[in-house]
Amino acid sequence: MNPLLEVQGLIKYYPVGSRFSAQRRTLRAVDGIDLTVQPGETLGLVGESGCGKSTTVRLIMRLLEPTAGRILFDGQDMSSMSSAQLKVVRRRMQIVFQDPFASLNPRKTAGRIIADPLAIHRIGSAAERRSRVQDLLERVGLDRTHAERYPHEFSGGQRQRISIARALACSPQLIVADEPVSALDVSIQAQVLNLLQELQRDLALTMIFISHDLSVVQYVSDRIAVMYLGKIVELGPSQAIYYHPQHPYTRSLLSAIPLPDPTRREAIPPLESELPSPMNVPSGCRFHPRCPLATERCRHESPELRPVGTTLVACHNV
Amino acid sequence: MSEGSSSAPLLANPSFPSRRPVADTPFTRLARNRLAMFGLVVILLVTLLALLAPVLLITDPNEINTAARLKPPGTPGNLFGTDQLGRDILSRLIWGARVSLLVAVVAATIALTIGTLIGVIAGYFGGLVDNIFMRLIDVLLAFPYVLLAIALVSALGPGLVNAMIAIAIVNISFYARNVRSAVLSIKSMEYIEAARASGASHARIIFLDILPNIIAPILVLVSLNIGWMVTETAGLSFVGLGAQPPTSDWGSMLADGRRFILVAPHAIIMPGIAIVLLVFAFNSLGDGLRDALDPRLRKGGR
Amino acid sequence: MQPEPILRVRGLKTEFQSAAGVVRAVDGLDLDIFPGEIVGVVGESGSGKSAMAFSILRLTPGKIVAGEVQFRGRNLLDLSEAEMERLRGDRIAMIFQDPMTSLNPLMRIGSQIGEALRYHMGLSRRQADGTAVQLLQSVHLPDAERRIHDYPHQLSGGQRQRVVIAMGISCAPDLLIADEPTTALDVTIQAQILNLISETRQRSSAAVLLITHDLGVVAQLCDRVAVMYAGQVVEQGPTTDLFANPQHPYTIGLLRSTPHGRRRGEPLRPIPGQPPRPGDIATGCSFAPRCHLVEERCHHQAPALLQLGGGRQARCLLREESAHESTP
Repeated sequence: MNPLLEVQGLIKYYPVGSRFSAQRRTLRAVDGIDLTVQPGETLGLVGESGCGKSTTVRLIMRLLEPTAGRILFDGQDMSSMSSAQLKVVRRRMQIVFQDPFASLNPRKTAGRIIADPLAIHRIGSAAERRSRVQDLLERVGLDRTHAERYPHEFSGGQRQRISIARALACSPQLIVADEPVSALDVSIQAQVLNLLQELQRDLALTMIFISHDLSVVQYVSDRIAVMYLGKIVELGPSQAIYYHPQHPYTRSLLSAIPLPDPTRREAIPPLESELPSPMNVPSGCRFHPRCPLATERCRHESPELRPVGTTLVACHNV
Repeated sequence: MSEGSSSAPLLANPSFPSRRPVADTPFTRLARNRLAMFGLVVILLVTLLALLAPVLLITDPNEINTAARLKPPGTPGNLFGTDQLGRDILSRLIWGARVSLLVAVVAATIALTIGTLIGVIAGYFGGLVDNIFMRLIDVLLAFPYVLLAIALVSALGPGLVNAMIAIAIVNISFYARNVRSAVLSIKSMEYIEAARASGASHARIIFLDILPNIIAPILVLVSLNIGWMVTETAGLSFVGLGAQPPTSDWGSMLADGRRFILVAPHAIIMPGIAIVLLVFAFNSLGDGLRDALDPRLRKGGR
Repeated sequence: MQPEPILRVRGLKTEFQSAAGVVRAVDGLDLDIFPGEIVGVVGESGSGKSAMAFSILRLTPGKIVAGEVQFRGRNLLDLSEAEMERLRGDRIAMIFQDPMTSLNPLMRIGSQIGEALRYHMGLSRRQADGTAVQLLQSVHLPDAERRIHDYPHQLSGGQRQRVVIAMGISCAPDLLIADEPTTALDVTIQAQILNLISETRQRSSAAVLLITHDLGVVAQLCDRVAVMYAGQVVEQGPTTDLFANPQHPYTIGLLRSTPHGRRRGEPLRPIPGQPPRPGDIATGCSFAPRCHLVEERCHHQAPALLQLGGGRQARCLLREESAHESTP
């Protein structure tokens, strides 16, 4: 089967500091990423702040211009597309954001927000759009009458449902969900996770799901890519990553999650030291300053992803 | 209630009657603000008087009566007294209000239009465009405010229209900078990214997503700005670069009365009070609007 | 023989004046904290958990309308503002969610820590500096001698939270109130800070009141848990018992909602509906509209906090059979 999305050698660097300053440095937000996403699967992207997961999906959505690399959507190279061609592709991929407060225009009604993608792509008549909006509202567990309300009249979870309805409006193939439940309360989080899973099953959606929380990601994903400072350090089936992590960073990330089970108080010492800044990426393996397994080789030589069991791992020592 | 299927209706909450706020809109908040309401009433009153000046039964503001020079306030027929040429001060104030308001409103409209255009383009597109526009604005700002206006009028020649143009140009930077920062904060919102991800054009995003969200702050800017413009108009007229005689204007009234400050203080006190009152009115309204529209006070926010 | 609680909150009610009228954020809260223990308060946004913490310290912008807060035998609500000031930062310290806003951006971190030491303990500037370095070392801030000359923006989020904790323990308080101390941090940094809090408790024997929305944090760190909903404690008990055998339907729902350890495809069982907005008034049990065990009476009759034995309490009419006779 042909992949729906293929990312090759994706790089995004930002110059930092004034254009005229001698101290101009480079922030390496995404530093060489290869990914494929098969139709119908959910790929989880997990990592801490500054790992480049949000930048990666914004590059995929072409909300940012990549410094280098290719993005193929359904076999077509997006980087060489005209804006007209891009607009056509954008109907087929949609994004759901983290912040349910910032992701909806406060001056538009829920109905207008959801109908917006339809209006942009001139799909249907006004009446058809209205009925589509009502269907979508019901599909995401809201009420038809909610179309007339403004975002501030909804709770966080309901707003996230509106975001999802907007993303579904043009019947996309790919949904990118950027931390869609991180800002929600636990009880609401579960509602939205269930909804996303239901929708994916019923509409045969392909999904990229981003989160900092490995236990959420493993729950929704078929495969997981673990990112650290702009690179993928481990990539593989979700159960394999969750139950048998190979990369020392994945292991630390997992053991750092506080389990809601007081009988399993893990005594694993947490990672020492802070996350390095993406402006100042360590030499060699970028995880080596925090890595319990680091050797001399790790200081100089950057490891490539290579197969270990069912997963791909970028580490010299596993 | 069945177990938590995500599509279960989320609204019905029988024992939590959703409490509708008594009415807490920007309008009700503004209406509760006494100072802002005072400002609004003053502005409306002055505007009404200015508009009705030609039909009001008042003396001709330019009618010279050398026999009745510098009469004190309260003189029958001259409620606010007369000036050094015996012209009726009340009548000149009312006609002068036309000048002040006209200049301020027209100049504000020009400055607002150009400034908003620059601010939106600079803020939305960023990068080089932003840099060029903002450096130009910086240059404009580097001149002392009043000096720049004076220099412009000197170059264009004195007169009301030129004063208006000068005041407009001087105030472009004010709008451009404020609109730009408002646009920047809106631009970083995820709903703008969502619109872009849906394939919306820049024009669509600017007109449907950005402008509606900055109208409230712009309204506040305009109200505060018109107050300053009233002062600036008066200032230019005071130094002889604005309204030319015999047009009655608050600034030139101050300038004329200045020579008689000891014998007839009312000749400058009356226009002085008029200026202060109108500027204060616009500023109170502006402050009130800002408080009323502040999203942090809005219900249902975070 | 039960030791005396260091903090004993009874019937605390705090109200806020909003444009829509009076909102009761804390609605009759009872809570005990014993010396040296870590008590977790879990709840979702709007449950009143932060309002409660701020009320205990009398820092709430709202109005405390009823109740008492006994701290080492004194009712804090009766103290003068000056007495409260001497107590805050000295006997009771607080750690906030956002370390950036709880540090003064214009003050070097050494001086910020030193300020409390000089105010509460009367140390000289030099002594305070020395103590500040020791404190920063005790919270494992690398390079403490140099760091005391840094400004907050020169530190990372995790380092700033370490500084805030160092400030919190500077006067060896009897009670440390931590309001979502790790919510703004990355998971690996959160693990470090949680370890630090646990270590601090062991070393200083201060009691800790930890406010969080994260059941995992509670499970890993706390001796006892209080679950809050709509301004009230709905369930309370020792952490292990409460997680193993939750009594209140809300607690049960919360535990079922977490995706931790659940395999893909296995549906979660979330609590339906939305949490009540502050200001909504419930006639019966405030959880009734979302409860999976709801009965007719729940809509009319407000449940009391029942004693279930073993230090357990639950506010649910359905647990009345198993409740003990004892009075609270």
